[in-house]
Amino acid sequence: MEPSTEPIPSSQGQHLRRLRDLTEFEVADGNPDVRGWAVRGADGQQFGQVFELIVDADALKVRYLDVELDERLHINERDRHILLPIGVAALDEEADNVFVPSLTARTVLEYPPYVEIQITREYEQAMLRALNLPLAETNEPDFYNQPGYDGSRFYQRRLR
Amino acid sequence: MADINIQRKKSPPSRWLLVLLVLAALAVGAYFLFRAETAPPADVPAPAGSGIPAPPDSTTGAETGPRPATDAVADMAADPAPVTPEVLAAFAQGDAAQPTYGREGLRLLAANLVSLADRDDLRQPAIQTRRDDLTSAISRLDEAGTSLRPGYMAAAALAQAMQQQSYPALETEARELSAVAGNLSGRTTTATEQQQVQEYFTRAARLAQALNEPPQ
Repeated sequence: MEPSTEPIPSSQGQHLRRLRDLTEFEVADGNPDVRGWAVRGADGQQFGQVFELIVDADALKVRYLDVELDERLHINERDRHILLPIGVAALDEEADNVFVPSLTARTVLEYPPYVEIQITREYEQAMLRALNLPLAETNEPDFYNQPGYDGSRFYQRRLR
Repeated sequence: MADINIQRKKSPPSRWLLVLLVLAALAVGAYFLFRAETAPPADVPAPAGSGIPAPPDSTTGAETGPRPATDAVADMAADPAPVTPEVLAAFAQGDAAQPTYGREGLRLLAANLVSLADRDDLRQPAIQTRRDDLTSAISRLDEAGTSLRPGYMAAAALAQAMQQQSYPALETEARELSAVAGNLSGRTTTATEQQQVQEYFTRAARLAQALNEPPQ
């Protein structure tokens, strides 16, 4: 369950929204709604919960998981949310867990907080650095076809 | 490729579809209501759970038209057993001290006599008038403070009218029944009154038995 080493392009120009703000949309039939699921690092230790799904309404796909970090990490409330690209997580559907092999309860403290504003290029770079993922130079509009946002990886890592 | 997809929320059922469903439900309701109104009314329906067999179908013996076809609504109701003279006779020998003895006996007797009055050979204006008197008296039995005496009298009068029409040999029995009815107080509080009421029903059952036989 190694994290993707492929370059990840920028999200600039994409129409990313919180799913809860899109009142006409819902998680598609047959797909799990992972909101509320525990998020665990490579060490298996829970460090947060999936708070919201960040979606591309044009492509009808989830792009990021908005994760709320646990209070016991002693992070102030304003900085307690982080974004995880969908492709860096693995799903344990039987126990409602989302595993992130690239992070641990310790390294997540270095992860850039997401303060629910527009996702800037700088934020993406900081995020991918924290995940040890390369950042592509391209600004192509189909950049979510890159491995870090590949949903199939999300399911390939589904635990048995 | 599997991933988390989102979709537009499913739109609720079309408003027109709902309107059509409501109209269909109304149509079904109206259909059954119409059928219920056109069905022949039961003459003397016995109250549910009273243990009294309901009267036979009012069209029994009638040959003026085809028997009404049973429909779904009628099928849902319990098929009532007819009140035979044997049922009347057995009831008459029951415990006259029971507070409901007179009332239930009257219902049984009326059910049997009314069904007889609908027989072709007894469809005469005089008999139908007596029949209506009896059903009217029976319908008032459930009213508080109603005396049973009018019911006794009306039943005896109907039996006598039918006797006069087709059973001349039963004149004495019919007259005696009317006489017994005339002596009843309508109450069954004392042993004498209970005995009189029991005698009335015994005579009435015997007369009903004869009236149920074909005229000579």
